[in-house]
Amino acid sequence: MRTFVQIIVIFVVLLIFGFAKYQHEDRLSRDMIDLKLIQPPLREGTSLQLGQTGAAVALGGLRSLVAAIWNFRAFLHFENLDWLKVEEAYEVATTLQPQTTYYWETGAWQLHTNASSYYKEKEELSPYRRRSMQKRYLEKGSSVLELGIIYNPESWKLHRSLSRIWSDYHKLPDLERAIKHFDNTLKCKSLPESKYTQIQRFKYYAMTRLSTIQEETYRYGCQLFNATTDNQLPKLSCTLFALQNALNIPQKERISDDELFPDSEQQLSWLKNYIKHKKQGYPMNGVELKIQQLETKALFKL
Amino acid sequence: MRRNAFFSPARIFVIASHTFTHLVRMKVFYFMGIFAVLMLAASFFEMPWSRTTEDSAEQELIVLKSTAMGAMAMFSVLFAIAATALLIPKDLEDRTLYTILSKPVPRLDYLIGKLAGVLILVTVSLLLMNGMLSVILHFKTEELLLVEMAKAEAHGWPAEHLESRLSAVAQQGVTWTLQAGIGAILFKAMVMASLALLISTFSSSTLFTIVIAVVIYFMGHFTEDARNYWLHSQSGGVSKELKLMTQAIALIFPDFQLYNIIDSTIEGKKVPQGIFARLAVLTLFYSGIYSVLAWFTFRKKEF
Amino acid sequence: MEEIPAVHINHLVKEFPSPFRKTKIRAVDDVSLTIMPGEVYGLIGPNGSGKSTTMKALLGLLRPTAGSCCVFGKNSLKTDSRQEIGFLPENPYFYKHLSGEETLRFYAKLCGMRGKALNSRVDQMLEMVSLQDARKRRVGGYSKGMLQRIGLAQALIHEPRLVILDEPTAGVDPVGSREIRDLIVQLKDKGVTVFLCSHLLEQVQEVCDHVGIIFNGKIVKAGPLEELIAIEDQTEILIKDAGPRTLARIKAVIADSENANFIRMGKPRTTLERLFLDEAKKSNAATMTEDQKGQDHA
Repeated sequence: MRTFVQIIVIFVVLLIFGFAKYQHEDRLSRDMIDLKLIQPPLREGTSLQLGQTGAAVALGGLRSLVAAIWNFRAFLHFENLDWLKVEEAYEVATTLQPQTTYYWETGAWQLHTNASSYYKEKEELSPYRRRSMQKRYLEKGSSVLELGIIYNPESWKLHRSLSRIWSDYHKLPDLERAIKHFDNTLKCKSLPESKYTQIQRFKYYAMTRLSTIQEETYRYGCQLFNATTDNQLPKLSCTLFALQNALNIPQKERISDDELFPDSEQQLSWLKNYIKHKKQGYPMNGVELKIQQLETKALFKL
Repeated sequence: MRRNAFFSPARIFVIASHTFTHLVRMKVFYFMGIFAVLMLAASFFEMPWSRTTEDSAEQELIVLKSTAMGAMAMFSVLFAIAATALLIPKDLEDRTLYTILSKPVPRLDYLIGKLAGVLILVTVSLLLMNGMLSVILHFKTEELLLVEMAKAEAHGWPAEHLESRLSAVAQQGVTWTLQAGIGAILFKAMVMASLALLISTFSSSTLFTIVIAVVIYFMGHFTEDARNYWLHSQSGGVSKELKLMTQAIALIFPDFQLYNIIDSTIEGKKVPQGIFARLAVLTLFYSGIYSVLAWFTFRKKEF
Repeated sequence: MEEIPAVHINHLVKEFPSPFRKTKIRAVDDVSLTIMPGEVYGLIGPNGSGKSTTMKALLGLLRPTAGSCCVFGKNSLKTDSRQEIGFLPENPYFYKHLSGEETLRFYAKLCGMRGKALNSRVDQMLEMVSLQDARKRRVGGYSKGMLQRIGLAQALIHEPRLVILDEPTAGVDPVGSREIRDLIVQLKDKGVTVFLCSHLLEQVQEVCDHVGIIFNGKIVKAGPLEELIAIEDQTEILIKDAGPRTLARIKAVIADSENANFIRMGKPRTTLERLFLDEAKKSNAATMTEDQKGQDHA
């Protein structure tokens, strides 16, 4: 009887103490979530909810270690080319550590690059099958990154990875999608200053490959060119040269060749290099002609 | 007759240091040896990394820290529970309790002394393991910094980029933030030890105490969800019983998810002093309340 | 001024809930006893009669269901009362990982002793119980007799005014047993009150001056030992070197008296214990002489 009474008293005291502490706990928890020190509770209705809570309960604080182990396992599966298991392993790792962007990135890479190209080159499959599997894994990789972004909306790296997938010539490029992701990357507050102009350039290059928005692309390119000398790079200059020709920009309004290129020798060399990228969809208006002109000029100089 | 203070720090220290010696002579420190080997193995282990990410150096350090701190967390919680659960039943079984309580030792002093002894041991162990981790981590970080500098030379990185890479790598090395993580590990152990103490005042079986403590430990990871459900849930039409149950869970069990800052410190995230202090205060409250309740049960116990 | 009794147990009742039946078990049923300072009190009774329960109540290890226990005027439930008590439990166990010396230091510190006083007292106790040679050895390796001795040492470490001994000589060999009994006498001479429980009746008879007999939780007989065990109507006379004529004359005197009746005459017997101890002494002496001879030869 005595023990029973004692237990009741203890419960009552714990409840009273509970009322005193729960507000503090709640506030502390929210502050920690805001500072990204602990993970936020999953949105209600998310199918992963049980998975994450189950994992949390099962591991009680060893999640980073277990995630690292699963990451390692994933790599072993990769060596065995077991793509389903690779996907599964990264699913576990990202469930345990959703705020570690590394796992999202690596998992996505395994799918959108390694798995995708594996199927692309698998000769045993029919061409149709190869393409469909390649696309499927590309989409899987993209979905992984998109899910990662839900957990880490401020991660510029994840946005950048997405933009890379869809602008990659060797994959199945979707330039509009890529440009959208480049924009998102630029909007991230966490994007370091040193990377900002680089991303702007990459966005510009993707835009140049879309013939439907050449005017907008040209304006953007000029903006970048004039913004800083760091942007005065071969590819930028060559694309501007081609766009100016494509849009028939009047001579007076153009950026002259002397401004675009350091000298005619460099211009020739850059353009000769640039034309190799024709297959990737970059504008080539007037490039071939210019190369011929410059080559002739060089011949006469000799 | 000398008046015996209700709460005597000197006497508590006698019991605490005795408990510490007792546990040490149980060869607990053999675990340290295993830990050291594990740490060294982890530091030499080369993880295969993705070639698309440039932060492979940070990842290596993170894995090293994860292994070490995972082991430290596991050790301290398990040890805190097991050691505390063992102490009182052992004293009772061996009848050493009679010789202690027949001296002018207030029961509160006895309990606090036992608890303090366990916590001193956990602290010392954590300091030792922290020392080992710091040394290995320091050398590994230096090694990786040199690798980054070599990369910079080979690829002709601008100075700004090298600096940001070096600071990113250094941030994963031995920092105060990591110490905050170790502090959080200790806090968790404190709460679990005082909880185990409370349970052991009821139950004379060590196994029962350990099982219940472990169950509560897991339940404590649900507390956050229960509290969110209770406080911030939008959905209506949920049964009264469920609402009451989630309330009870949120109130009674400690919220162990708060201690997950350990994971963040492993990833090099900074923990503000304010947050750490609040966590410390919360821990003290939990330990305090469980200790007081343990005394409440123990003071009337008959032997 | 009236002297405060060392122990005052007043109508003590202790009930335990029975695991099987609804009715409670009365381990101690209205026990009252008083021990004045300097007395040696023996509580005797069969197993399960309530001796240990009474002792535990006095030590504050149990709460009385009714009645009270006081030690030198302080309620036994208060921690203070134990400052004056030294307790040796039956089959004492100590922390096996500590050495004899460390054990004594631990208990001394619990009683509030410090520094030089503690150190000298520990040395004194070890000498008293003849454990100087084993002071650095872990208690886990002690024999039963050694455990009993270290137990006594820890009971006396803080110079208590009341010593409570629960079966102090149970399981101890005759030599050790004799030593413990001699110690009790020494304590008595120093004015220390001793309260002991035993069912080795002859030993109780030897050391105690007051006795209480407890059966089924009740004190059935209590009082000064001599009064209790004297056979009222008989007288014992012990004579040395008496010749046959002297003995015959004594017999004649008894025969002449009105009421006295001659019962028995003969050689008194020594006790088996005395025989054993004498042999032990002789054996020790012989061993020492041989060692001496051996040393001289060397």
